[in-house]
Amino acid sequence: MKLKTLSEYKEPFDAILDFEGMLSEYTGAPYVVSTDSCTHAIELCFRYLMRNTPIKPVTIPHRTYLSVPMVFHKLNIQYNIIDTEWHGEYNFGFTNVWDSARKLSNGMYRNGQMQCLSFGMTKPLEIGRGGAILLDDITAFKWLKLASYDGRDLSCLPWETQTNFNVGYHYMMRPEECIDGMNAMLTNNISNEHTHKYPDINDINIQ
Amino acid sequence: MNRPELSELTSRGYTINDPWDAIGIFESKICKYTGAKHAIAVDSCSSALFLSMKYLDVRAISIPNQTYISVPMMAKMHSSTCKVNFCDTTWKKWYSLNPISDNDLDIIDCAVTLEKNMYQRNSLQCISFQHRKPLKIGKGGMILTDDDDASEWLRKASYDGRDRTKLFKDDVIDMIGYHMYMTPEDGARGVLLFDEYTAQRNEIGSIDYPNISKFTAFKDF
Repeated sequence: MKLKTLSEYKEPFDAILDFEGMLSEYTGAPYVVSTDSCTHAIELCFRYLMRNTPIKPVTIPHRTYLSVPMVFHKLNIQYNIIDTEWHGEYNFGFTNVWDSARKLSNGMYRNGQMQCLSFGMTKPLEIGRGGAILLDDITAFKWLKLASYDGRDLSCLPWETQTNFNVGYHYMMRPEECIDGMNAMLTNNISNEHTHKYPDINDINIQ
Repeated sequence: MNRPELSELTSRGYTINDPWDAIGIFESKICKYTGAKHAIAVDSCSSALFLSMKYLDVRAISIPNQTYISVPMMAKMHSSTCKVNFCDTTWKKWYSLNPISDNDLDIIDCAVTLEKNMYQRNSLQCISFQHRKPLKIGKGGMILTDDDDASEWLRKASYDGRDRTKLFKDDVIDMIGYHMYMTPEDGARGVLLFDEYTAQRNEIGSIDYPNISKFTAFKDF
């Protein structure tokens, strides 16, 4: 299979849809929303869950990346740090959201869940920056897809022709990065899930 | 996957001992060109506006009816109580957000402009490197300022509260940060593009944007 270059796309945003489609097929997730980072994928999932219902305190493992507790500070969600080990991914208890930054494998999708991938440096699919949400809830998918790109519907182009917007966030993955991601997937340039030696966030004083 | 920009910088004679050096070089070039004392590279102009509003803890902004939709959205992401006033004014090249805060720094949206000596004193000037903007990295932004305290805060705030000169395990995190940094590869692309950059006549302004104040998303702003 030969991929299109960006200039071969009539509309560059179609590269985003193609990448999401490829991730869907690989992971088994019915829907995929690409984002500019795993951190922002997690943030969007919690913003979705917070729309109607306050979030109860979540749990996070003591070894993870700094931006994870920062997201909960940003969203004013309480969290408890728990002494647990994980491999590839972990669940934010007691929700259906997962930090899957260190995992990308065939058929990895878990039914009913929202799994957040990372394409940053040292991650299984190393594009440089980027993330995605795997999910099977079409209502959540529609909300997250709009929210990830300033509330924009990418079928309305140019954006000025769209007349009705939801509030959104500027968290989109760009088409060039999606093409890099597809190239890496096609050449099987995906490393196996792995752990990473994160510092203990209990040792970090976040004011 | 290794993007080629960092090695391209080296082949052009730049000294890159650490990938973050590319960001430092890019920021220095933009400082020199615009006349700003500090430049903080971030992942988009929207993030630049958000961080600027966060730094000033802005309580209200006044923006033109005709601008990009993410501007009022960033205000609400900064604070749900931040008031957004839409004004029937025209602009060219840039406009002030007229921030209401306890600080006298202005916030200026310069997304469509990159010109020599464009920096305006006592402000946080936000520029864009999106693919339709003067310097087309693809996505990215920068905050220009002459305020030392703002520069120090914004630099750490854009990188998860981290000091980019230190390893995560060696860093002391004393503030809430945001995941809005520019990657070294994008910084390197910025340097390569900027070395070829010639400012073009730019008259982009409000006339190029729809009236966003009419959109339902902003009815309660």
